[in-house]
Amino acid sequence: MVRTARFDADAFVSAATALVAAGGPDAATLTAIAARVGAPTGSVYHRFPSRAAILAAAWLKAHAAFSARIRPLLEQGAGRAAALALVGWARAEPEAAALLLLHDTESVLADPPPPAQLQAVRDEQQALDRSFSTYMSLVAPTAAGDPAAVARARFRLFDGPIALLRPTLGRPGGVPPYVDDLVAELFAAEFEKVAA
Amino acid sequence: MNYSTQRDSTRRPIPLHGPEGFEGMRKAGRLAAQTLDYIEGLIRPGVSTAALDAACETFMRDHGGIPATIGYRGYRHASCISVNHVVTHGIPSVDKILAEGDILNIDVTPKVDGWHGDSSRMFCVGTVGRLARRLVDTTYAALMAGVAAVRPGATLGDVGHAIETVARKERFSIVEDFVGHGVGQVFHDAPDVLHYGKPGKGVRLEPGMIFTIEPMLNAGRKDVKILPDGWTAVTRDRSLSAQFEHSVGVTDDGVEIFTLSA
Repeated sequence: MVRTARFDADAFVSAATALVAAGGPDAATLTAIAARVGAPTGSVYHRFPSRAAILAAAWLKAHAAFSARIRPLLEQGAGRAAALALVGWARAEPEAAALLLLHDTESVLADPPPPAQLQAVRDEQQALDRSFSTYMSLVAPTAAGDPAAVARARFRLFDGPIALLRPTLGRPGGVPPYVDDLVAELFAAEFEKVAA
Repeated sequence: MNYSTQRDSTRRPIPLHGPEGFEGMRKAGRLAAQTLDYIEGLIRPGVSTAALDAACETFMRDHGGIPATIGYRGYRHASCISVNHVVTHGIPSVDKILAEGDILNIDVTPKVDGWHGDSSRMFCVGTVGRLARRLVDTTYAALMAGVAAVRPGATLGDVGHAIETVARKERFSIVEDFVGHGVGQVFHDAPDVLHYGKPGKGVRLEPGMIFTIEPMLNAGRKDVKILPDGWTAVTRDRSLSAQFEHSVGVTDDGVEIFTLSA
């Protein structure tokens, strides 16, 4: 029976995520990533062609987990539940949340990753955009093309909750319960067809 | 038992076994080989992997062994049975029925008098496709190339490189997420044995070191994923995978394979 390798690719991705969460993208050097895993630096190169590839893998993993929680709810028109799910995800995966919510995608991917990963990043972003469009068509079908309605929805679903989360990420005690209450208050009941 | 002054890549001390360790491994390894010899006769289309597992357990217990996998980190079976695109740690199941053309790995570890004989082999169900046959044959050749590289003064990098060379020549990929391991009275001990490497790199082999070599080769990409059961590792691209395993010891002048059939 084989032993699971101590230095699998996921360990390097998790280390990169933790380093970005704690110190920003610049903190995730190859040396720091290898040191955090306890592996020789060469073993990183055995699995990833570059530092940019590890950071892209970290971004993709974080975004995939975020999307898995949010998109199904958006596509049901359950905006309040989606916004609360965003908070729940940040609470459950604080390092991934810090990577995704505290740092611009452009700064995490400042060094261009391999083309396949870059395409995967675009695919993730477009999938989320499509889910948001579905949400809008469900909860505010008459507001299509109304910039104010779109902005209001974006604020309630994303910008508002993220603004509430940012100061709490990485703090002792994690995301406090009052954030859920404040996010819930962002939603007016009449705005949604489908209750959370 | 002593320890080497070297540490493996996980910084654990590497045991150096004496004659009693080699004797213990011979007994346990022999039962592992006998179990796999026995099970070969039961492999046919229509049989479930759970039935094969039960037969493995009965055989091991009837011959003085205890299946070391039962209870290991919560694992509940006497063997791992990995069919087709399952790379390793396939869980035996009444629902998994073998079909003509399948390839499968059966991995057993009987514990005899406290020593672990860890071995696995590939089996073919009836007539298998040309790619499957080539993958199975190449994986065995890769294992034996790795074994042939074992001798005092060689390195684990030499072993990995020998395996890698055989696999690359046939354009098969090598799984990196699972490794061979030290074995003895501890099931999974130091050193980690990677199935790829650079000549001259890594732990320098010393007489008394005992470990498994168990390369996993994929017909497609090397990437694997673990299914939600927490054990079953499959190829991400669902390509075929094969694995062979021996437990070996470094002797004063070469290598001893503990898990060879008589």
